[in-house]
Amino acid sequence: MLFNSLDFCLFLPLVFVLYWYGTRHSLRAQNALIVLASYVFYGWWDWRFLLLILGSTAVDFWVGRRIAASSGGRRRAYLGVSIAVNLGVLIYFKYADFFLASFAEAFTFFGHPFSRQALGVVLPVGISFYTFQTLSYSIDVYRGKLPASNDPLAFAAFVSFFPQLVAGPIERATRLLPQFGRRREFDYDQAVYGGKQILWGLFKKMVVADNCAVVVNEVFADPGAYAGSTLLLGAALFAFQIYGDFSGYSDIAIGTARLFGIRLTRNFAYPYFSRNIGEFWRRWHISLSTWFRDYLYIPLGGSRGTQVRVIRNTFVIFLVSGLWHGANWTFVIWGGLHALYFLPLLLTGRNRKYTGIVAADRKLPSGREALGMLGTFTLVTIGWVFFRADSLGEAWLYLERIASASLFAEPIFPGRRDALVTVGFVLLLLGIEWWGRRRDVPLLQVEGILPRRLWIMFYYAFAVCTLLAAGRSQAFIYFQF
Amino acid sequence: MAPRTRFMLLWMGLAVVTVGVLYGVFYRADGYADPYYLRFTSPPQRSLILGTSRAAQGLQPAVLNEVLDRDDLYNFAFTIGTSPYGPAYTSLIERKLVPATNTEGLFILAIDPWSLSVSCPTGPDSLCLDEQDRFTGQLREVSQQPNFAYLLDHYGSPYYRILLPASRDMAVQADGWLRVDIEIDSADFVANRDEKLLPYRRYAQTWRYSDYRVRSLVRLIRSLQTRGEVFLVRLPVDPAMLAIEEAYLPGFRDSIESLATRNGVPYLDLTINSAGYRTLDGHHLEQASGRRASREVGQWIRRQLAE
Repeated sequence: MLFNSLDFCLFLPLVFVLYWYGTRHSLRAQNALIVLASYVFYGWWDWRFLLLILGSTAVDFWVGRRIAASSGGRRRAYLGVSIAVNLGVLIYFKYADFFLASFAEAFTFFGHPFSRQALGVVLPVGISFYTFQTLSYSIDVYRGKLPASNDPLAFAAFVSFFPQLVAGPIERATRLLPQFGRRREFDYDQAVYGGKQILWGLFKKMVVADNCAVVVNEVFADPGAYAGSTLLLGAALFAFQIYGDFSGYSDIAIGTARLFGIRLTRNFAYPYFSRNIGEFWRRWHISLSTWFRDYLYIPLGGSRGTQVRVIRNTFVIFLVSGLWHGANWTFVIWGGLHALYFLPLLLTGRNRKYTGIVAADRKLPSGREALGMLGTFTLVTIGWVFFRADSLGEAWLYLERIASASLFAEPIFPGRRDALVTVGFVLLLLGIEWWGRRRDVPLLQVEGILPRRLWIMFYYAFAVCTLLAAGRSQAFIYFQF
Repeated sequence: MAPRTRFMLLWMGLAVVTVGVLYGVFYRADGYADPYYLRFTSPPQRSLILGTSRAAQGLQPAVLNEVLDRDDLYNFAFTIGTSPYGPAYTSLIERKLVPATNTEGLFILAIDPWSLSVSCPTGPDSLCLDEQDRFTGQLREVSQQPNFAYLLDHYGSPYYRILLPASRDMAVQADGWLRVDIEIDSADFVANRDEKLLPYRRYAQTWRYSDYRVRSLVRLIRSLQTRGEVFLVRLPVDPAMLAIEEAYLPGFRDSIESLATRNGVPYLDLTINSAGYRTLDGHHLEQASGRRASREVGQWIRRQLAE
């Protein structure tokens, strides 16, 4: 079920009413409803994949109990079971065909032609997200950061909570699981805040991302047919498409969770206002970056040790992050490229140079900050070309044509007039975000200049405008991961 | 009032406002909304013009009705991506027709090599019917005003475009004809034509003639014959486009003539004498030429009916 679908428009109020009018006196009833609603939400795509969620829930609940009841080597063995099962499922569904194809290509390349039959495995929606979430539970129980859950219903709600089930934020068990151990009370202000965050997320997804998608799909479908200027515009619009799509999803997820009295982790913090790549990675897909930091980078030694070790660790984390996004070499190269961007900052100790809000006490950035933001955006956009292209060859062709003399030609492509409006939407997004960059939800900044009695009219008008300006509905990009 | 009830009222207010505004916008959707929508708001029809965008722009029901002394011909042709001959288009047509008791209908089926081809170089044709995933294969309600199913699921632009169309040069008329008011000079024409022909040169390399689509066309002809008279036409195009089509399918003319004879359907090929017809882009007839082609088709049908 998509957040921006009619199905969800009916599903959400129904669950909300049942939750706050039917189950609010009982923790077990609240959790049972969350689990049931989440299974309906997920089963809407394909009910057969519910078995995976049920399996993952059962295994990790059991493993958590066993780890808590064991000591010494047995604890490690039980953790191994959780890792093997979760990663095994992920590898089978997501990477089996990719690895088979890569082996076959490698054999063929070295003169031993090797034919193979694709397994044709269908990728379950959101598998990378909930797999990582349940893994964090087993690891944290093993590390003693969290007691093992003894409430299967609360644990099932933690694994399957529908707002963030299919595309995050990837929650830590230490933060989310305890919230399912307490009965939730309705909080009007939190619910209204959640509603505003949903509205902002819908604007980013439906107006910015879905309209950008029209141009992006056109130019990425046949890069050879367009001038460098058109391809540059296509790449820049993809940067905003993926941002609007994914951060929009995160806002809707976080806002929806608030309606049910649950707080989720912030996942994006104005990444395109980053002044270098280090800052970008602290502001983009925060829940995944910190997951890799805590469960992979630091266990590998992090930035401690020899320079060679630091370089290795940095490459490992970025390459694995690339591969996490998808079973294609384009994602691996995207990860590698970011490692190359990041390393000079890390090795010169400048990766944490910018930790605060840009131009925190000024209206506009300084020239140096503006250049930093532009440079970071350019580097990130080059990476996005690999991320979006179907193959390395296509990505290379795309960049090669951007770097040609046709970069200075007039961009000509179907739907050029509509693309101008789309650029206007992107500028509106940037303007609102810049204006409200000190808040989690920038739209709230408007409350500072409007009289309170007009707020409701403003939000209603904003909702109507969002609906009227929405592009043709597209599936969320991160669902495929 | 309980806070949760207050919140629900806020939410319901938002729902009422957005649904109300959306309904108002949908109600105002007209022939400028997009090149298809209006055809799904008209009542069920007795007589249809069928085919792709060549027929949508080129065959004018008003002219045909006048020549044939009728008032019921309706243009239900769309585009190459949405209405090539196949099971989806056949079902859409059947839903648009008045119940089968009518036997006095008239059906003009415009054909060309592309409307009987598939885009996949290999594999079964039945798995390569792109129109199945578009409104052709998905829309169940084809005569509803406003047509919510179409606007919610198949409208391709933001809804504000219903109120502020991107262009006033193109509009579907009440009789289904897609009127295009573009005046072009010869320099524009060459640029338009070269741009338009580019994808067709590519299609000619990768597409293939489809027996599956031809069989669908035959089934459609037989079904329509129970409701009235059926005629096949091929509309004129620019010589450059015709050259691409002849290189793509050298035997197309003979194969359609033979299909028409086998199925007892008169066939008029206007590409044989394209001189004097002007197109906007090598592909679609401009308005005056469309009028002329429609008159010619009408007179030919009148002769056929008289024989």
